Amino acid sequence: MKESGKMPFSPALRISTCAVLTAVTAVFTLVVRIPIAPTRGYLNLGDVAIYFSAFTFGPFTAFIAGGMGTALADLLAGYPQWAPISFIVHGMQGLTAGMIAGLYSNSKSSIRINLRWLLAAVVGTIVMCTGYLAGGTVLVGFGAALVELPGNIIQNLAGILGGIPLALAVRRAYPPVVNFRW
Amino acid sequence: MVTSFFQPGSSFVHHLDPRPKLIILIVFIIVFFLPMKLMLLSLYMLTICLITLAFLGFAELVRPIRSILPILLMVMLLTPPFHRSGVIIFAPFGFPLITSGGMFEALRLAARFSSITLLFYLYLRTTDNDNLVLSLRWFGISFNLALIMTIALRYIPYLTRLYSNALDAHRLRGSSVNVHRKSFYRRFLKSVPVLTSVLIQSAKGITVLAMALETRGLGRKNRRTSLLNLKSGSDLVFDFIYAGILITLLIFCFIIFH
Repeated sequence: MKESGKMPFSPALRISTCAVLTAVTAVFTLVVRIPIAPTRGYLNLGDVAIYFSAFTFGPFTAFIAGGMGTALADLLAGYPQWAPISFIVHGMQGLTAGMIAGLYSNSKSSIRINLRWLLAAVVGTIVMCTGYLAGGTVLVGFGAALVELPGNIIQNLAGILGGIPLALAVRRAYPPVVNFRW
Repeated sequence: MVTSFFQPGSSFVHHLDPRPKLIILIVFIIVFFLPMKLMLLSLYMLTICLITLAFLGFAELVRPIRSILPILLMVMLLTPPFHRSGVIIFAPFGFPLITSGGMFEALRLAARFSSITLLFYLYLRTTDNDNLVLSLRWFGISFNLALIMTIALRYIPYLTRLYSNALDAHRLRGSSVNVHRKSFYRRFLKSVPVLTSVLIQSAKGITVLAMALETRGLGRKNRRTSLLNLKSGSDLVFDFIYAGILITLLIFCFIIFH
């Protein structure tokens, strides 16, 4: 298979794109953690992987990678009760961010791309925070779900701050990656 | 790094087929979300605790509960202020902070969350990844989704090693990603080159993986065969009978005590 130029999108390529990005999301959620000094807590970079998938690989890959990757991370980290909620919420987050990021994708202006991506990430943040608040309310009640909200917003801000530069850096360093979008 | 939650064993729950186990899990979760008395919910929770204790042991019962203790504490502290029904128990400055209705709701949520956690734990602790994916396939999840899940589970350890190697390579070049003195933002910025390396390597692996899948015949019209299969025959029938008995008891208790 050629490494440059538009590639035909076979089922194998779609499956492998989704599988690799799912694993990337799971690893970014489980392994890649940045310590926060004041609270001695950690910030996982699962949302960075979701926004990266949405901007680089499109909404459908982001839906599967975001949903399945975070659900697998929940299963492996010992929080399987959150896996169905994570699958739906992070899946929808990736899908909406990818769809908005893909609007008017013929534009070549980098400023427009960044603004579109920023808007997509903001909408993704709203979807994720609302989704977790709703899911958390069902599972643990409104009070406990509300406490998680600031953490989710910070996590998403980190996702935006990391996801956009990473997507731009990977596009620049490995241009054929744009052909994996579907 | 943990790549499976499964703990090999020879208990009855380990030998039970993953399909009836999954049905039991789903039915229990649906029942937990139905309106019921706290006493009945506690009875269900006690049953799940006893099953875990009998087949997995005390340590395996404590482990999931310990992991959700902070959440349970939050539920117990933060649920009562949002419910004003019942008798007022504590009202600082005339504001009803804790009521009997709020306390019952907190207990109900805590019992339900603990039970759901234990159920998932019991299922995943006694079902390996391959059987989990095969049972999901049996319940109608598409072949492509199941394949994505299987490949992703195989890829997670590889990507973890890749991340570790990239981190070491960047450290050798003088990058100090995990220095605790630096501000969060600087630490975050320092990690961007490492993550870029991991993502580029991962993206390069996509075409190789696609070629490997095509070589193995993915996308062809021929009838698909499977290397791994779930059990069939009389064993499966008995497993479904056990599941049926448990579900009948569950629903019977619900009707009687409701």
